[in-house]
Amino acid sequence: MIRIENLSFIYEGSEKKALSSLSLHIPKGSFAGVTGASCSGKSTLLRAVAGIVPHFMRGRFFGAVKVNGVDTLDTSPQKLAATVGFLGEDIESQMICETVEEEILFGLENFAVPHGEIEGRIERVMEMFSLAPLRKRKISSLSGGQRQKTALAAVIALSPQLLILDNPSAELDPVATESLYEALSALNSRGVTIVTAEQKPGILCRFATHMTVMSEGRAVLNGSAQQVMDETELLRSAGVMLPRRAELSGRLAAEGLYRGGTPLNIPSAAEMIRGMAQ
Amino acid sequence: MKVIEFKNVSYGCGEGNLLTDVSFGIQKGSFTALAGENGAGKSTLCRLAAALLRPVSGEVISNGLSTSKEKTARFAAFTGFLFQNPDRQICRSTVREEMAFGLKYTALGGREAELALSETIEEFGFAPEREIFSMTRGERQMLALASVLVRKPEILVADEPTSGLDARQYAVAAEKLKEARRRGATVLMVTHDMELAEETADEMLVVAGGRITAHAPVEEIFSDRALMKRSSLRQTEIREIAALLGGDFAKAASAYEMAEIIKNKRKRMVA
Repeated sequence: MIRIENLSFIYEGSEKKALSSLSLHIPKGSFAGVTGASCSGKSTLLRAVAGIVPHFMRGRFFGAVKVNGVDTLDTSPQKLAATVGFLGEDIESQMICETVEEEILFGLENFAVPHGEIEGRIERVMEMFSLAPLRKRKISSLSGGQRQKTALAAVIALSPQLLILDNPSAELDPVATESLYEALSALNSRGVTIVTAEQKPGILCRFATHMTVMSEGRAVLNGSAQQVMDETELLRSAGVMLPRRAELSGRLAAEGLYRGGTPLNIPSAAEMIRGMAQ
Repeated sequence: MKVIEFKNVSYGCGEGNLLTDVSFGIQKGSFTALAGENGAGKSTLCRLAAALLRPVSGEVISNGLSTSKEKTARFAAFTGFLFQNPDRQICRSTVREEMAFGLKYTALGGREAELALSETIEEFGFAPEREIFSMTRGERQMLALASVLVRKPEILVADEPTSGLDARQYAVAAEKLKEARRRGATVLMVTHDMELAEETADEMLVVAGGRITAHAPVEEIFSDRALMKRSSLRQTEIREIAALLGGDFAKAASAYEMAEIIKNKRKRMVA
């Protein structure tokens, strides 16, 4: 679905490579999680896949990004948007309508979704993010988290084949974060390819089928969630915030009490301890 | 002594009340975490505390002054406010200009202000002439925090100061927040991150549906699991693991305590 070949990118006005000789393959149907420190190239990578780099955010672009076999340089973000849903980190710049309902409706009308389908799609995404009570609310009166939910709902309502989300849980409460990832997982099981970048890999590793760790514009680690999360030293040196369960397993390993991998979720962390205390 | 006091405060702006009949007090020099689900009223409460909004009814007292009777500038002299979205706060082009901007409106004198500026720039590891448009969201968040802290406010109101930060930035931000408190500042901080609340705060205020549902020491809030669930709060990961394990593990609150319990259990088994 996504093939990135030897991609380097330098933003206009900058001398530093935001991406440096990056090659990555994300197969159709994957749930890919990208993590890394601030400035590591996560957002640029996602923007390149959506065609925003270099079509809107200009700079020097080397290598190639192919989405569904189409080189993003040979097409436009508008054409890509027919199948690619993108939500950037700065959601405020992406929201243009006055109310929650209008914001969701805007994309649906622009993509000429048949009239009879529109209400069903709005209701589905409203339910996904518990937005029904806010349907007529002005966006200016929403909290940060409620805006984030609205922006996510507007993108998901378009039923993209490929969904790209940059730091989607940044302003969500823990319950909303959990619901978001469950919803993404459900979309993924229906065939939607998902690429999300998160500063904290704790939630990603529970849902992602593939993970990539970025550092200084390069993919320094690629693999299954388990393979990536077991590389705790490399994650630390890449500035990635480890979940506390990884710190716990690391401490227990350092004390010679544990030899297994990083538990990917809370129940497996509890299982790890049960195993040690028996 | 209470430095911030809400007395029967309600606030709304045409679409129903965002806060209803809220009353609480915050002691001078304390660190309070403010938690609750999206849309509960946390940011509104913060803005009222910093006199950026005025209550529709009731009264907010800050440092002995009623926010309904004085201008915002009077409160800005001793209050630092960190917005949830750094782009709502940042108004200059370079790091140095941004950090110097807020300093102009404090009691710090010329030389003292210059020193505070260069010290803070160094502590946060910024390049002073860096153009802000080239910074990532995490970096802008750190700059916004630094620009507030450089003014050494007596009251610091921080709306989700660590969201979107990486590991290094998070460690610096958490340390800087603790340092502000050690310096004597009173801190009110919105967060969804219970690990951060546990690490920094003494008290927690829980908001749900525009009302205060709890105000107690952090430890007490964490042990009320029903309240946590009702308020869409999650336990810290270690406490969640401890709760799943139950028995001897139930009270473990840190990785260290967890490891100690395992070691003791193993010793008993060997004996």
